[in-house]
Amino acid sequence: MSIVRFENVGLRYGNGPEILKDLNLTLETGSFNFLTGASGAGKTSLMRMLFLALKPTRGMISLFGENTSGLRRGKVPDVRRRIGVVFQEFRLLDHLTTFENVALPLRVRGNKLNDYRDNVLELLDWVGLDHHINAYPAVLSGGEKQRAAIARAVISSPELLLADEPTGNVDPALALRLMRLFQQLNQFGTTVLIATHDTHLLDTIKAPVVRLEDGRTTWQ
Amino acid sequence: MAINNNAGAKKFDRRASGFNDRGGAKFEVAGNGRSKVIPEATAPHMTLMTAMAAMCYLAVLAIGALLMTDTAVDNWTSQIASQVTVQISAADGVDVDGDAEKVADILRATTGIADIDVVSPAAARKLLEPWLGEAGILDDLPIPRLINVSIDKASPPDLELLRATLATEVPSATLDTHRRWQAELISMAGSLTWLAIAVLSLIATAAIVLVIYATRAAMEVNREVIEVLYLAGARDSFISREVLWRFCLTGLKAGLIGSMLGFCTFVVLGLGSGRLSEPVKAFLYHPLDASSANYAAFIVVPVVATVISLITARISISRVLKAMF
Repeated sequence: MSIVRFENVGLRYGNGPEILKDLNLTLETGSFNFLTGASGAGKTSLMRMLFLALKPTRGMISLFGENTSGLRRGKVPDVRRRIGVVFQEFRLLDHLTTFENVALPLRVRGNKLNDYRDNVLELLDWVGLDHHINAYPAVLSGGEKQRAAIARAVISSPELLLADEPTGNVDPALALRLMRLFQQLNQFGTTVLIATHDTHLLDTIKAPVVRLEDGRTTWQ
Repeated sequence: MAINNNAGAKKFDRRASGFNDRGGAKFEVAGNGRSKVIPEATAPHMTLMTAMAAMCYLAVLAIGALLMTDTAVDNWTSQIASQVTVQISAADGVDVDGDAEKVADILRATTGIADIDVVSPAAARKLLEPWLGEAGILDDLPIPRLINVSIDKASPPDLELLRATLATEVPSATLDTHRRWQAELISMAGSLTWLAIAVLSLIATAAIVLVIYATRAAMEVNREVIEVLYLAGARDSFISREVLWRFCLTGLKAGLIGSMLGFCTFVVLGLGSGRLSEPVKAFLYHPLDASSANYAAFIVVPVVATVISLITARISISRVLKAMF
């Protein structure tokens, strides 16, 4: 069963040329996939369409079996809550502690602190940030920030995890360890799509790769 | 569409992640663990509060001036409405004193008249002295006689009938009911009321524009934070609540400051009015007293400021969010 389906999706910014053309892509539930392509190929644009931050100019995107083109604004958060997102630049909120950043998806759902405190602490323990729960992002290293961002993305057990260049700001050794986290998450049933242009990573981790070239996708 | 709310952390094995080899030492969350999601310092609340407080102060002044005018006009009109004047013209061949006696008798016999005061010739001369001087010119002038008549407001007399009776019995007497002055005063008070309403409307419009500007600035400064909140699954209502309460508080604080300053201004003016003469105080400047109506007028300003902040910010935030994402 597919969790993501693109049918003839095209995207252009304003009146510019079409940067994504006739994309046809299907991700099966529970799969682990890479998305690769040269810089500027449109990986981030594709990811932004997946987490509903960008609308395609044509074609149809289906998430969790539902066509997103007719999705009302009020329903968008319901879909986003089933998706976890990790960015290359982490996008942690500087004025919140590690604990508060990781707890954010639960907090915006209206959950009480007492209901999620133990879960967040356990997850921070899992990613090795238990001793940094009260630290602000400014004092964390790149790897620690990325682990906090991953923890934030998975705290609510998303069905789909999207990671846009998650290893772009960490050294190769740490990149592999982060990949192990993603693989563990995948083993728990989360569908994972990681956008990267790190060929070493693609060679090391054996997983299906979607290549984005000239605005079109091909499976490798 | 179902929402998966189960926290995934429970499934994870600390050792399997390869990131934690400290043996599971326990660390506690410092503080309340729920800092403000939208940082407060980034929004221009102090600027907004200062400007809003100034406008609330102006609003209080406008309301106070309106109340003072209203009180003064009430005084004038009630004085005018409770008094009429009969004038006996000192024309050739008229026995002014005799006619004054006749008019006084008619007035005493008329129901609805509370009291009459026949102004003596000496008193009438005193009234004219400030304009004509004491050089003896008044001895050569025919001075009319005046009779001030106080009306019983509970059962006033039929003034048209009284006018007709005087015209028949004492042709030299004319009745002045001051109705024209009363109408002009009421008209002037109406104009001042509309002027105050126009001033208050302008102040409210300026406040709305300020809140819109401040809300947009706050949202723009926090665009990154808001985008992260959206990606975390936040609804518009969550983000709106996080921003809104601060604007609400700013409006309330500004209203209270403006109202207090306005109140102090009127207290100072009231203290300063001690130097004014009684007629000026009674007819032109009537200091605000500590009546419940006046207090209510001062309290209404912070309430309105809060409501304006709340409604404007809510609409503005909603529009900005729709335009942003």
